[in-house]
Amino acid sequence: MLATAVVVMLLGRFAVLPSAWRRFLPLAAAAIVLTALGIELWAGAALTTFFGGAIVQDRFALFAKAAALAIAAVALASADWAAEDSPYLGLAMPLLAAFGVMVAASAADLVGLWAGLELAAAAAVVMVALRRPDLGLRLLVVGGVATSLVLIGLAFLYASTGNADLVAIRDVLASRAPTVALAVPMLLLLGGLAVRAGIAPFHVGPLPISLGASPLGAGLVIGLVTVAAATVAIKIVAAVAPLPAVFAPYAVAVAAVAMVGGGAAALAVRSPRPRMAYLAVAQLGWVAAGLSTHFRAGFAASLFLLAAFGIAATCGPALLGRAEAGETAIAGLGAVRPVRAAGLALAFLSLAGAPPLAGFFGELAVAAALAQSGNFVLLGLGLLGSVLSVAAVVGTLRVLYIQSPVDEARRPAAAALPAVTVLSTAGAVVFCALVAGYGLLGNPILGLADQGAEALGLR
Amino acid sequence: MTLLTVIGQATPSPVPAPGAGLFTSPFLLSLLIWVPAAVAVALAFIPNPRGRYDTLIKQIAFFTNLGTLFVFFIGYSQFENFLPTMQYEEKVPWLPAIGVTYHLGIDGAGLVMLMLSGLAGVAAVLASLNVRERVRAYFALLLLAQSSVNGAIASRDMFMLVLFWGASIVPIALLVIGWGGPRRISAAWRLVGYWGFGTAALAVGALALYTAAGGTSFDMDHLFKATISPRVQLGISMAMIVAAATRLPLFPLHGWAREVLAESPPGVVVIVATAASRLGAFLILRTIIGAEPVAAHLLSPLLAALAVLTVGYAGLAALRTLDIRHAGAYLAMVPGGITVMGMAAVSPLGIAGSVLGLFAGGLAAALIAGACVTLSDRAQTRSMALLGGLAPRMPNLGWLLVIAALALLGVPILATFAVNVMTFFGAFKTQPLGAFALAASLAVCAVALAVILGRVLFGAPNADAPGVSDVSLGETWYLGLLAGALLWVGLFPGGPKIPGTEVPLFDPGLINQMSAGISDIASPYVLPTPAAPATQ
Amino acid sequence: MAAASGAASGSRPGGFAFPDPTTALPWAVPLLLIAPFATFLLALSSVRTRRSASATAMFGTAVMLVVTLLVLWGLTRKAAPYVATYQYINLSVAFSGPSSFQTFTVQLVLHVDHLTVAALLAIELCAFIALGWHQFMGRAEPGAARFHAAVTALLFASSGILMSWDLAELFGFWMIGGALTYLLLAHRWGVAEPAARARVALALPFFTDVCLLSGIAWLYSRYGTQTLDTLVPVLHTNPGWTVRSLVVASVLLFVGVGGRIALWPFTSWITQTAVTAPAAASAIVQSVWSVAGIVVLYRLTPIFASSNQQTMQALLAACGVAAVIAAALALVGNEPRRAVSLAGAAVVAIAAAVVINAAYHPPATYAVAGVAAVFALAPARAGALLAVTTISNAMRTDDLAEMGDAWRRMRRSAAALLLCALLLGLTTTGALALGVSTRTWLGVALGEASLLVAIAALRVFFSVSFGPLRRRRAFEPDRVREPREALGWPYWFAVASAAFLAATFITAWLGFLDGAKHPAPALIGVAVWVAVPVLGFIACAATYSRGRDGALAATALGGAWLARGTALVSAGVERFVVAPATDIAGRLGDWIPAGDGALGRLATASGQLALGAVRAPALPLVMALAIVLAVVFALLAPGVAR
Repeated sequence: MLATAVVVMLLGRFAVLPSAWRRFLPLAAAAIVLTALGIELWAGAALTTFFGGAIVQDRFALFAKAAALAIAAVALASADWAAEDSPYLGLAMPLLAAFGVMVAASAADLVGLWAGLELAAAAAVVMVALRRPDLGLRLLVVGGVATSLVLIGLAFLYASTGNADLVAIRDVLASRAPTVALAVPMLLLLGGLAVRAGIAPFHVGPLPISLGASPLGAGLVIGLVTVAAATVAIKIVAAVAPLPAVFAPYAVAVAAVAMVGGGAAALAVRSPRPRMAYLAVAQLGWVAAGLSTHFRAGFAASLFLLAAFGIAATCGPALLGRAEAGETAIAGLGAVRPVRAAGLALAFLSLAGAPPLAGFFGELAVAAALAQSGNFVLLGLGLLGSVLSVAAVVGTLRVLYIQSPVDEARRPAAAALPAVTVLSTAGAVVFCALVAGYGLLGNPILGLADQGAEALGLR
Repeated sequence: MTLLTVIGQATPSPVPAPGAGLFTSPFLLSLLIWVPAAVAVALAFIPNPRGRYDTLIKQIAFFTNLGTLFVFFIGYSQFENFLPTMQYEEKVPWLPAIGVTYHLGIDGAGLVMLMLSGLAGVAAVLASLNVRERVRAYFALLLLAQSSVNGAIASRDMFMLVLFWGASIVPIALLVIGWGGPRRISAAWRLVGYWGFGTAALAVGALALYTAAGGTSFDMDHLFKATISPRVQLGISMAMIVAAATRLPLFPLHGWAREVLAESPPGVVVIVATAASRLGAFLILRTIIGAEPVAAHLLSPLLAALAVLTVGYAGLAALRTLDIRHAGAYLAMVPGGITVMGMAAVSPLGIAGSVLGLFAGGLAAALIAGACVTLSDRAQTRSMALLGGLAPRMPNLGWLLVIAALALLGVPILATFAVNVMTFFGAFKTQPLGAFALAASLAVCAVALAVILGRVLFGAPNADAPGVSDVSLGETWYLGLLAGALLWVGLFPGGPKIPGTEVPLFDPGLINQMSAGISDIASPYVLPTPAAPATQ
Repeated sequence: MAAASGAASGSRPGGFAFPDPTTALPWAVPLLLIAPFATFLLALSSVRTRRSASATAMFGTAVMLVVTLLVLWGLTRKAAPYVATYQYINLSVAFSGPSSFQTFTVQLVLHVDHLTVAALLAIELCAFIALGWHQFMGRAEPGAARFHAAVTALLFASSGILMSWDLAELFGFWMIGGALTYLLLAHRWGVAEPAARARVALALPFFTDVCLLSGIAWLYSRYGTQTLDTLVPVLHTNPGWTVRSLVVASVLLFVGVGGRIALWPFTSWITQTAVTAPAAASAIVQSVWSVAGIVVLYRLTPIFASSNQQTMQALLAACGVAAVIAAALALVGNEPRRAVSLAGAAVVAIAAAVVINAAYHPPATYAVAGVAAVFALAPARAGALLAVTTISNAMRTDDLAEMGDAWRRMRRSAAALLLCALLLGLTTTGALALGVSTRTWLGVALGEASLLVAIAALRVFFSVSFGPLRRRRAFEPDRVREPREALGWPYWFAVASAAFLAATFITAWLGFLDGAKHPAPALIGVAVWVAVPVLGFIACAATYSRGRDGALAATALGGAWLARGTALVSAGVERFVVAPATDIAGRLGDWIPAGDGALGRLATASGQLALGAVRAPALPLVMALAIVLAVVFALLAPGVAR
């Protein structure tokens, strides 16, 4: 992965490829990622450790890595390359971000987690800076805040447990009582991750930035980086699971704010990309809700949902393409770009948790866990948020399918139609198949997620 | 003939159709759910430059519905009407980690609902023949809506029920928003809001039931057999009632009905007013009456009150409004109220009546709402201040509207008569006041209907009103189909018999087929044998 | 079809081998339902012109008449009724509990006894003659096919009602009849007033029909059966029966039937439509429902009788009051058809009183005399209605004060009106002579009622027949002539009525009707009860011979006051019941959308908050939030600080 990314970057920097070749770069990259996915699924089944135990290949890693690779492949395939600023970096950064997620997923200690997270975040900064250096800088600063919070938390965690290894930390905490001294840094850490993930109420950091980026850039900020942060959060929370009091209430509160606030904001905003971003926030709230249950089924449901979220939140903006011109950009897209419009519609619906798509299965799995933990208030709030989200999506679908497209002669550049290529069409089709078929594949995926949660030592 | 007679004598009443149970398809219900969905997806991608293939798309939609209806008719005639168990069952583990199974199956009530849904599908396409714009999307969404409704009917797994229940919202909302009348936007928002809220309530109820039953399986067979404390039963039932009330709709959660039924195109009105909304009553039957007798007994006064309020409110509101479409929408709430009263009776006969009411009530609601929508289309106005004396100028629609009115009031030879008789006969023991109040509310509806018919059909013609034309062939057929079904079941509830015998001719009779499983649902509500004779 | 008794029995007469009529019953009895229904379909589907529609309907009625006579002939041989049963609904609803509640069965029972046949004869005669009159006098009416289809369907419904033995079946035919009644009374499409007035004809009887349904349902829910054969025997033996439930059922059933036989206060649906509906329609509706209703009431008396004394007294009182008030109301007001309708309603009330009185005094058998009286009444009231319609059409007014001189200008119609009016007054004498003692308070009330009826009926004749026919604007009295085609038909009514009336005095006829032995009425009683209406006739004649205009002015004044009172009451109902209720519904209809709209706006507004937050300075906000939340939750989280 890393090698591919570097190669692609170097290609862009030094070797000037003939344009005929350039068109095949995305295809090649996607193919490589798919190969990697194949290898991961084939070879990753074996439980091993690398680098003296710094990197472990367990079920959780397998699940998260497979998800990251699938996300990256589909995102690369379905992106509208005409709307990207640099095909080379545009290809490389998603790969780097995915790599970051994979590192975090298979990290056995705090350092690995942090490294993976930062790698993914750095990729996002680059993507954003390509189009809007100012926003890139802003993301860098916000990310700095997040990093500092995370580092403080990690440092305190290390200090208070005397261990950097996650398994060891869990063993230590199993015999401890929750204290403020542990809780504050733990919550600062979670706060930092929340800032990275841009979950409400911390969305004020990354979310506006994502709106100015290129499609893939936005996808990275909303999707992959969030997935990375969520992965880290899941592993950390799993490690401190013996002391739920130090994170569960916080997770509940954040989840509640995110689910309802995200849905309401999605309803309030009209422009497609912000709407998608807020839908993502709402669904991320569900992931947090799953974590608040602090038992295996809940974490498995969160993982199950996280994969669905990652696909929709990363590929959604990519499919949306250049849509700065608000709703008019996608008006009547169903008539002029049926496949891409279908993908877009499914992305919106899945992020809103509408049945029978990926998001719905994930959210209902989390809901089942919430019900078992007896937290019906949070469940109700989540369902309320989903209702608001679906209402918002109906508005977007109306624009997509019911409104008639802008007259081509008067179409503004900001609303330029995405180019139709075989790859993008194939990417959109694969995306549709994934999001719509997520439920059909639900058994293996959820089973793997469950094993992943088990691998984190939960029961 | 003699053989048939022998079969007729050999089998207990109700007499099954000769040769029932010969054909037991393992995937009949899946066909009914997934064929429309598959055709919808296929339709969505048929290239249709400048509407060149509009007619073809309409034909595909029509024959898809006709085909599924035909397949269902096979299932209907093959249904074994004295088996208490689910039939045409399909059960495949789906998400074992959280206990979800792909479990489909129908008993008598499900059969009735599927029959309603099948007829509604054909009627909806016939009603939509004059759709001109975005034909492809329209029929794709229509088929999607149908398949989700069929799914909700056939689901035997709570997770799937929530899935299909929620899945019908978006297509119908888009149909309203895309092809509706002037106030379509607010209509669609209300639909999404109310139905979404109902879906949330259903999900909460389902998950509470799932948790209370051990959190191992969403399968209804497991959930409904679990022993649950009365308090939890009550909470779950309340959630279910909220979900049902948003669908059926019942007062006071009927806010969507007026605008959706008044603003939608006729085809959508048919879908919404029939199976999609009867799902509410079906839910009460399945999850409260059929599963939680204690809660059913405790909540029956509430259900009765909701039924009476719904019917009374509908009558009064229809009496007051001057918009014929609104009047139709209000009156379409009446059959739902009667159905719920049948359940509130918590007596075997009342429950049986409410099951038949799912079918007859759905048809009657669609007939009145559809007739009012079509009438306002044909008369080019919805204001009853302008409409007047239309009967001579649109005789066909006039008769259909009269039939709709009579069906609402439960006049004999229409299926609703049997429903009313069974409901009232069943309810007067347990809910005498409620039943009488409901009957009185029906009288209010009669007044409202008299006013509307008197003004619109029989009143003085209005010279200032826009031009009027009678219904087109498609409209006649869709209204005729609904009225015809009401008439057929009203005339032959037990199916036509071979003269001189008790052997059904070709239709085993809806009322016989629907009885499968009803006795089991009703058994907890059997009245105790009365005490010794009272002394004078 | 399970043909019960009779079909196979019957003995062949010796000598000339007549075909045994009892063998005809199995097909003749269903034909009583099939013939009108087929005619209905024919008239509705394939008939276009007025003449053919009328001919079809009359033919159908004639066929019914012939079949009825055939059935009558078939039944003369046997005392037991002929019963045929078809299954309509047979549903197993439970496997346990009382056996009567385990299945639900509604049967299409065709129960034909002598009473049924006689009632059918009365109805068919009325319908046939009214159709004959309508053929010529109803030329101007719109929608001939619709009208005749509705009439034949009403005949279908009424023969169904008369043959029903299963109360659910009865209610079914009852509702069909009710719907058709509405269609007939609202027949003049495209005119505002008939439509507005016909609303009463739908709403008011529908409410009483609902009471009938409730009564039947109430009984079923207690006894698990609704067939008279099985219900009546167990009324007092079924486990768990209570007097209270029987009282409730009796009252509901009585109100249900009372609405259709137009017992006061349920008269407005016939009086309101007497002018605005086609005359033939009113005539047929009034005669059909009075006959069908009284027969049903007679058949339900076992249920009334099983309640208790107080209930029976209350029902009797209701009938008596209804009779007196209806007759009194017939005296005021100058609308001839309204007066005739009210007089008829009063007579029905008297008959109903006789029927219930018999049940109140078991083992009295004279209940059937009340029914027989209504057989006589039906043609009389129809004849009077049509005769007076002929006259008022010719004189182009509905105000008795403006009519007059018909005896000279329209002798035949006037004479028919006179006959029918006399018969109307005398109808109940036979029944009263048999059943009601003049010394009881009931006797006094009914006597007063029949006196008033006699006056009311005859005053119509006197008002239209004598006195000057004044010239009015656009009306030339000399043009008033007997429409030649209308000749005769009202006479036939009079003949039929007279025949039935005469029969009420013959105990054999009563015995034939109910199969019981009847004592001959005491001559003195007959004399007294005949004297009462005769007294009324004389009083009326005297009044009108002294001062016709004064009498008419008085009745007009009464009518005006009555109209004012009625208007006041209806305005009160409108203001204090209807308006508030509809207003509440209307407001709810506005509030609920406003409420959910506000909720939607609230959601969007809260979303605006989230959007607004984005515009805040991100960095400090994020840091502050992260730190504050961390500290707060660390301190507040249960089990951490505390």
